[in-house]
Amino acid sequence: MLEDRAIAVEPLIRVENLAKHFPVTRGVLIGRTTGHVKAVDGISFTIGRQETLGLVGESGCGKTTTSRLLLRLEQPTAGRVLLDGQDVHALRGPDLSRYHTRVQAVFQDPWSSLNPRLRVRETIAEALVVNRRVTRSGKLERVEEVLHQVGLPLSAGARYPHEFSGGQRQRIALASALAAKPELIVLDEPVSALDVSIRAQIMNLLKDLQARQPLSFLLVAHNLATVRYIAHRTAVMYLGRIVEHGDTESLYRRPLHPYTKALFAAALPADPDAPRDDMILSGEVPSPIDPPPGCHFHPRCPFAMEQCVRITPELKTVASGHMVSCHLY
Amino acid sequence: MAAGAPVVLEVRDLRAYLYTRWGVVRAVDGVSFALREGETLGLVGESGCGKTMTGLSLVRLLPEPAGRIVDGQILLEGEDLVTKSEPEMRHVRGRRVSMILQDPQTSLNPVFTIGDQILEALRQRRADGERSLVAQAEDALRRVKVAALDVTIQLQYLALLKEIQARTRLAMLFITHDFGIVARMCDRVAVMYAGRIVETGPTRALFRAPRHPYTEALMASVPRMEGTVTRLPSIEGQPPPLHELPAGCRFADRCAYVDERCRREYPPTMTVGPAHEAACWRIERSPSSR
Repeated sequence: MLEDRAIAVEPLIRVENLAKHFPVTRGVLIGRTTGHVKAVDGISFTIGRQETLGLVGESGCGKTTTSRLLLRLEQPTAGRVLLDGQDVHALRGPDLSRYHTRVQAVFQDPWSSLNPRLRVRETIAEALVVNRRVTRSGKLERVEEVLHQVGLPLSAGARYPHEFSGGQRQRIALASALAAKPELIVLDEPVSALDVSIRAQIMNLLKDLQARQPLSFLLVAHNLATVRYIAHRTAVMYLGRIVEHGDTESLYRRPLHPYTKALFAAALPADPDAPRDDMILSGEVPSPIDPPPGCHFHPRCPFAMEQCVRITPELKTVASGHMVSCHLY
Repeated sequence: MAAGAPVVLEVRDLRAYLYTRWGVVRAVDGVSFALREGETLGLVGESGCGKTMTGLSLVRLLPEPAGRIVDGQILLEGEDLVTKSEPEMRHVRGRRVSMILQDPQTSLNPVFTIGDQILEALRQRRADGERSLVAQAEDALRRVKVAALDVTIQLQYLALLKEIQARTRLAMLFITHDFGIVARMCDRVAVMYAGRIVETGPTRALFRAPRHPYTEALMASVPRMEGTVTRLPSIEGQPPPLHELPAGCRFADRCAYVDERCRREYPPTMTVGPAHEAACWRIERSPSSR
């Protein structure tokens, strides 16, 4: 009984001090390592069951590398990704096969992510072939099930990807991600390539899918309003680190980190009379090869203090379910 | 602010079609608008609505050989660009017409080359006194190239465009699918759907009281930074293909207020407020709603 409770409390995904440094080499034949791009530089977070974690930040902040680490498309330099307590980068054999059914991905571009030579039902069934022993009829049944779940007619299965619009293709990509009954789907900019009138359809579909089954999402997106709409919790990344992390409501209502504030202030207003707090940051994001010491944000921060230059701030809990890494708090 | 300023560009009943093996794609199908000195007009719409083709028509850079301007006028300070020869157009492009396409979501971001055109225009118009501004613009544009998506950089860029406009009285046409850009940048908005402008008006009026059901639905479907929404209203279906347009209103299939007449007859453009027009039969049905 006690043990059961412990399992229920353990999040689906636990990321511990995860880091990914890419060597920068010089020289044509014999590369000499001259430095490291610290794409991800020691981050920790969890994703609960049936929960959506939003990862936001500007290009180069490390959010995509983080999602690739979770998908095992990269090996970490340090730290671990635990799925149900198991280190996913140490998985071998059947455990690894099982991992590939438990974690799936949907990417931004619905035009290039689908094999143009396969009929939709074949694309979807492929996800079942790789890791499962499913009978032919079982496969067909599952294909029809997921097509229905994503709101496509059964006839869609017999057609090819080019016959569909962007929004419908993203539904197909979702269907094939769902086919193997995953527990986590990594969504990398799932709606940003879609037309405005189609985005709400897909965002609502994601919410509906999650409401109907035990499904967690890691949502990587640059659009802050999209993340607010879908994610239960949000983590803000800057130069490889999480600078703020909390319940989406709390974080959007009261952003604490100066970078989060600037990011939110820069987001486009919903209407011309929206209250505007123009906090225009000077400069651009520094190179992750040689990030500034101390707090990575200090060269652009309007509130930078002497200690920010020297000491890396720790992620501190400042309110229930709200953490920030800043010396102001 | 630009209300009394002289009209720089007037587009009259422009039609630009693409002749493809699937048929005639009526990308721009009777578009009219005017742009005054120092004014910013937002041309909003989704991909395939004809907004980009409208923009390309203005600089006469429609994709060859399929694209052709089949009717209408593009009057730049009274001179019709439609009838100009290619050598004549070369004197216009980059000097007198500078276009910005704002679409950070696509990898083909024409901001770059057109940004360079702005710089060129600036260099020509302000030989002295504006050097630092040009340097700043160059700097900002270089950054836009690297990080078209990044909001903090985007904000710098938009602020700079506003500054350039304030100093040069540049008229700007902002082609975008993002109402946020419109809210921040534009004096007036024209909303395009399936080759036509369905609503046009002052930015504030259009946001406060959108009158075309498409404008209304599109605005409602965009998630917001402020406030919690549990369910976004979404527009179901897709826009009609531009080579198989229906006889009536092109939004009819997706419209919540559709009736039989909408499917039969294209609605006329009706005035709904000061400088505010929309093409919808529903306006005629409910004249007292405003």
